[in-house]
Amino acid sequence: MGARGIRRTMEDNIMDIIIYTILIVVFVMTVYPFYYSVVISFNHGIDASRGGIYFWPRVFSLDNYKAVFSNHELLTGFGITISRTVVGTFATLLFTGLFAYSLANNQLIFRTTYITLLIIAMYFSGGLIPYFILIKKLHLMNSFLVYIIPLLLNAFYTIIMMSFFRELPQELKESAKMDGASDMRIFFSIVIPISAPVFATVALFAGVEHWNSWLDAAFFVTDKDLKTISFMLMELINKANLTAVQGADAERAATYAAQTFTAETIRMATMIVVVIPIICVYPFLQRYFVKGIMVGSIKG
Amino acid sequence: MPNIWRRLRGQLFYQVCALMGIAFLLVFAYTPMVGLIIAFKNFKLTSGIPGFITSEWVGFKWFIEFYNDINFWQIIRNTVAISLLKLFFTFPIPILFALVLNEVRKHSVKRTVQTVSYLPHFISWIVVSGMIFSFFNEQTGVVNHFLVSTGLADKPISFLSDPAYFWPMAVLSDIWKEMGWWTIIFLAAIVGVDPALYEAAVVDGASRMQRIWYITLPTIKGTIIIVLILSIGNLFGGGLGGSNFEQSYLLGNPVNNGVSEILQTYTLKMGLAQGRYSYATAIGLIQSVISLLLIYLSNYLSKRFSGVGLF
Amino acid sequence: MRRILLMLTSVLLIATVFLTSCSSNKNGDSGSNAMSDEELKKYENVDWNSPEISWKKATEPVSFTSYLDFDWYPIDTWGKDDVSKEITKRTGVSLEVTKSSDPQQLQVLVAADELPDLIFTDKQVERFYNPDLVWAWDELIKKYAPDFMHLIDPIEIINNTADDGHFYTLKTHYNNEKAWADPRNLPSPGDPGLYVREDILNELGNPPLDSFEDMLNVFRMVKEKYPDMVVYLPHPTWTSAFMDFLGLRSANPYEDEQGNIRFGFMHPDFEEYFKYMNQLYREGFLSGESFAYKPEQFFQIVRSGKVFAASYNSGLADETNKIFDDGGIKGHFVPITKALTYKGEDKLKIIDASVGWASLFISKKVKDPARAIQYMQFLKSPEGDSLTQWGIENEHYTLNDDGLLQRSPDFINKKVTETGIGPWYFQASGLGEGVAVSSGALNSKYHSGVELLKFRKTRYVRNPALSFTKPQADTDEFNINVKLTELYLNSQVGIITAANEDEAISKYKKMLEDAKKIGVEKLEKYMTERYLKAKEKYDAVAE
Repeated sequence: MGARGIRRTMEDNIMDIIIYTILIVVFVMTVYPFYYSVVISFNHGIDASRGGIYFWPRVFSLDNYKAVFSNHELLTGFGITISRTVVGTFATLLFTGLFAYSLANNQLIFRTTYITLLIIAMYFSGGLIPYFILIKKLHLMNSFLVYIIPLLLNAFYTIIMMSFFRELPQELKESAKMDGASDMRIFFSIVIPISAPVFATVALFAGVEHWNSWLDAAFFVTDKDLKTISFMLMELINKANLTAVQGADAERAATYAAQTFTAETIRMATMIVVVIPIICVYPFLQRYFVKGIMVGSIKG
Repeated sequence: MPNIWRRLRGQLFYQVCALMGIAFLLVFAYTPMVGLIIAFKNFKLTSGIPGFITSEWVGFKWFIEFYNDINFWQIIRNTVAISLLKLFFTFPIPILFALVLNEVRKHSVKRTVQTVSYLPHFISWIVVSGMIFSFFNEQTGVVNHFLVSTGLADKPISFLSDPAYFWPMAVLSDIWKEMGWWTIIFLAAIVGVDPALYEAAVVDGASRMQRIWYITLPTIKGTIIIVLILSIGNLFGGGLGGSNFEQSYLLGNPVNNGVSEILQTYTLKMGLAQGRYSYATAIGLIQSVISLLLIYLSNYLSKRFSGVGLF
Repeated sequence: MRRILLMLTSVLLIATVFLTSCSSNKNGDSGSNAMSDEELKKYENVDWNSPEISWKKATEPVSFTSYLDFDWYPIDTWGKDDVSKEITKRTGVSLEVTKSSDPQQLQVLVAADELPDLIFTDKQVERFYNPDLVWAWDELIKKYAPDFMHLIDPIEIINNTADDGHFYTLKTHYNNEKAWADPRNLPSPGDPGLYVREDILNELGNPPLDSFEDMLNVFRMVKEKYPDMVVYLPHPTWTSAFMDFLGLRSANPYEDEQGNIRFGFMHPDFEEYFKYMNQLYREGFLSGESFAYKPEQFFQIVRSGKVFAASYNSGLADETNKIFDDGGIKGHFVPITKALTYKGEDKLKIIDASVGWASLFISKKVKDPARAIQYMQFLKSPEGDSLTQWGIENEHYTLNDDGLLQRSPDFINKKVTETGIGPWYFQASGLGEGVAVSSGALNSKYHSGVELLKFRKTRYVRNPALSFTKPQADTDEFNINVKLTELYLNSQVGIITAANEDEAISKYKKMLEDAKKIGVEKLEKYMTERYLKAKEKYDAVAE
C-alpha cells in the first residue's frame, strides 16, 4: 500500500475531501447517539423522564448502574455468558467452518442436495412449540449445552464462509496434496491460517449473537445459576418497564411504580454494560483483518 | 457404481463434514418442521403435543381467512414496499462505505471511524425507538425545535405519526443503525485484494477511481453478489439488518398503522398474541415459500448473468 | 429433487412417530372420595379463625413450582422478603418461581405439557378451564378442604364457574356487594381521570369548568395566552376521559335499551364523542401525534411541564405533582372530580362488569394437591389477605380507628423487594386493595387520586353478568372481538384527526361498515345469549 500516493493528483485531493467529509458525518452521527445513551444512563431516572437532556446529565446519579449491579447473581450470569460466548463461538466456527469447507468443494457428490437442504432450513421453521419439545427430548433443558449445540450451525455463516473458501487458490491445496498431506491436515494447517479474515468476521457475528442471546435462557433454562447476563438484564428492563404495561395489569403494576426506576435510564445503563465488553474485544479481532492483507501479498 | 464408491472414498473427509452438518439440520431444523402441518389444521394449544396429529384438518381455511381480512392488501403493500425500499437503499450503502474506508490512508483514522461506525448496531431497536422519539417528537423534540426556530418549517412536523414519514424514517434509521456493521463483511473481502495489483495499476497510471472500478470492485464482486442474494432471500424480513419487524412494532402506532402494519406484526397481533398458532403458522408459511422462491430466482439470475451464485 | 422429497418425507415420518410416542399420559381422576353436598354441611360451623380450619392442619414444609405470567412483576424469588418468609412460617409453603419473560412462554408450556404446579395469569384464562390441564377447585375442596366451600361467597363461585359447571380458579380483586359498600373501599386505581393545571387556571381567573362546552372555552383561553403549551394530552392507550364522561366504552360490551348486548363503539353517542374530539383537534388543542406515543413518552411530555390538561388513570396528578415539586418545576395538576355535562346533560355512568382480575390455577401435575388448595384457603382468609396486601401487622402497618392503614414513616423508603407486599396476593380481595388505596391519603400529601375515586364510586353501576359476554378463546367470536378492537384502535385516530366534521362523520360511518364486515352482529348475538344465561344464574342466587 505504501506504493500509493507517489504523486498526488488533483483527483487525489478532491477524493480526500469527499472521503473525509463522509468520515466526519458518519463519526458524528454514530458517536453522538451513543454518547447520548451514556449521558442518560448517568442521569436520575425520574428526572430523565422529563426529557430535554442532550449533552450532560442534569441530575447526576449512579443509581441506574447500582440497580444493574445490585443483582447478586449478575456475576454468575457474566461467567455463564463469557463461557458460552467463548466456547460457543469456537464451536460454531469449527462446525460451520467444516460444513462450509466441504460444500465449497465443487467435486462433492450430493453437493446440490446438501445445499438445498441448507437453504430450505433457512426459511422454514416449525415454530416455538415443536422446537421446545425437541430441546426437551434431547435433554438439553437446563443444560449449559443448550447454549452451544443449537447454534453450532448457522446457514448464513455457512454461505459467507463457503463463498470465501471457494475463492481460495486451488494451487495451495494441490501442492500440499502432492506433499502427502491429508485433507484434514490441509484444512487445519493451510486453509484456516489463510482464511483469517472470514473467520474473524464470522467470529464477530457469532460472538455477538451469543453475547446478546437471551431467549434460550428464558425458554430452556429454569435453573437460576445457569441464566445468562443478557437474560438478567432483560428481566431488569421488564421490571422497570411498568409504563409499557397495559390494561388491568397496569393498574396493579402502578402500585409498584414509585419503588422502581424508569425503564429508559435502566435500558441505557444495561445497554452500556453489555456493549462495553464487545467494544473492548473488537480491536483484537480487527488485527486479523490487517493480517489477512499480509497473507494476501504472500500468496500473490 | 463402483466408480461412485471410489469417488466417495476419495472425498471421505468432505463427506463426513457435510453429513455432520446435514445431520444437525435434520435434527434441529427438519424435525421441528413437523409443526408446519398445523397451518392446515385447527390446532388448539390445550390439545398439546398430540394436537399436532389429532387436531381437525381444515385445509386452506386460515389462508382464506387471511385473504379475506379487510386489511389484507394494505398489509401486503406495506410489507413489499418497505422491503423493496430497504433493499434499494440499505444494501448498497455498506459497500460504498467500505470502499470509502479502504481509501483512507491513515490507519489510525480508518480504524477509529470503523470502530465507531458499528456502535449503533449494538443499540437495540427499543433504545433506538426511544431516541427517535426524544429527537423527533412534535411537542418537545429538538429536531422540530430547530426546524421551527430557523424557519425551515412553519410548524412542527409529525415525524412519528404522519403516515408520509414512516417509510423514510424506517429506511434511514435502518441505514444509520446497520451500515457500519455490514461494512465489516465487505472490508474483509477488500483486504483479500492483492496489493501487487494496485502497484501495477499505479505504474500504469490508473487514477484512484479507475483502481476502485477495475481492481477493488471486481475482486469483491463475489461477496457483493452473495450478500445481495442473501438480502433478497430475507427481503420480507428487512434485508441485511432484518429489522422490519422491530421497526414496525416499535415505530408503528395507531396513527401510522395504515403504512406500518406488515406481515410479521399482523401475525403477532392476530395470531401468536391470541394463542392462534394455526393462523400464525399459515401466514408464516406464505412468507417462507415466497422467500424460498426469491432466493432461488435471484440465485438463478445471478448465475446466468454474472456467473456467480450461492449454490 | 425427487431425492430431496424422499428425504423430507422420511424425516417427517420419523418426526411424526417421535411426536406421537411422547403423548402425555394424563391421570384421569374420578374424584371418587369427594364428598356430597350433604357431607359438606358438617363443616359449616368452621369459620376463618377456627383452629380446625384445613390449612392449619398441615404446615410441614412443602414446595410448589409456580409460573407468574407478568413480566413486570417486581419479585421473582421466594423467601427473600418479609411477606414470603412470613407465609412460609405460617403455612410451610414455599414457591420456586419462574417469572414470564416472553408472552409466548406460557402458551409453549401449555402446548408442551410442561405446566408447573401453580400458574398465575390473566391472559385468555378460559383456556385453562380444562380438566386435562388443571384441577377444578370444587373437586379439590371437597376432597382436601371441605370447610373452604361455605367460606366462599356463592356469587364468587358463579363469577368463576366455567361452562362445564366447575370452577377452576377464584379471580383476585373481586368485590361483592358488602365489600363494595364498605366506605373504605374504592374503585380500582386504574380508573380514568381528567386533569388540569390548577396554577394556570388561577392565572386565567378560574373560569367555570362544568361542561364540555366550558372545557372548550378554557382550552381556547389557554391556547391564546400560552401558545407554546400543549393544551390537551391524552394517554395513548388509556380510556379517554371524555369518552368516560359520555358514559361510553370503546371496546367493552354494554346493554342497550332493548336488553341486547352491543359492542362498545356501536353506541350511537359515539358520533357526538368523535365530533367533540375532532373539534379539539381542528382547533389545535389535541395533536394527532399524541396517539402515536408509547406510554413512557406520554409521561415525558406531561412531566416537562408544558401540558395544560392530560388524561390517564387516577394517579396521574399525584405522581406528576411530586415530580414537579422534586424537580422545582412550577405546576400543579388537579383531577376534575365531577361529571362534565355534554349539551346540558350529565351522561357519566360507570358500568362495572368486573368479576376480578388474575387467576391462579393448580396444575394436574401438582404432587400435593391437598396442600395446594389449603394454601389457597390461607391466602383467601382475612389473615392471608391482609398479610399479602398490607404486610405484617405492627411491622409494616397498624390499623387506625377507621380501619385504615397507618404506615411507619420509614415505610416509604422500603422497596417492594424487601417487604414483599403485593406480589404474593394470589387470592387478593378487592376490599384489601381498596383499603390500601384509600389509606394513601393518611400517608402522603399527594392524594388527590383518592378524592377522584371517591367521586367515581358514587357513579358505579355494577353488573357482573356482563363479564360473561367475553368470547371464549378459539371461537370465531373471539377472533371477531380481537379484530373489532383493532379496528377501533386504528380508525379512531383517523376520525379524530379528520380535516373537517363531514370527513370525520364519513370515516366514522366507514368504521361501522367495516365492523359489520368483520361480523359485529354475529358477535353481539353471541354476547347477548351468554349474557342472558349468566344473568339467570345471578338472579337465581339473589332470589
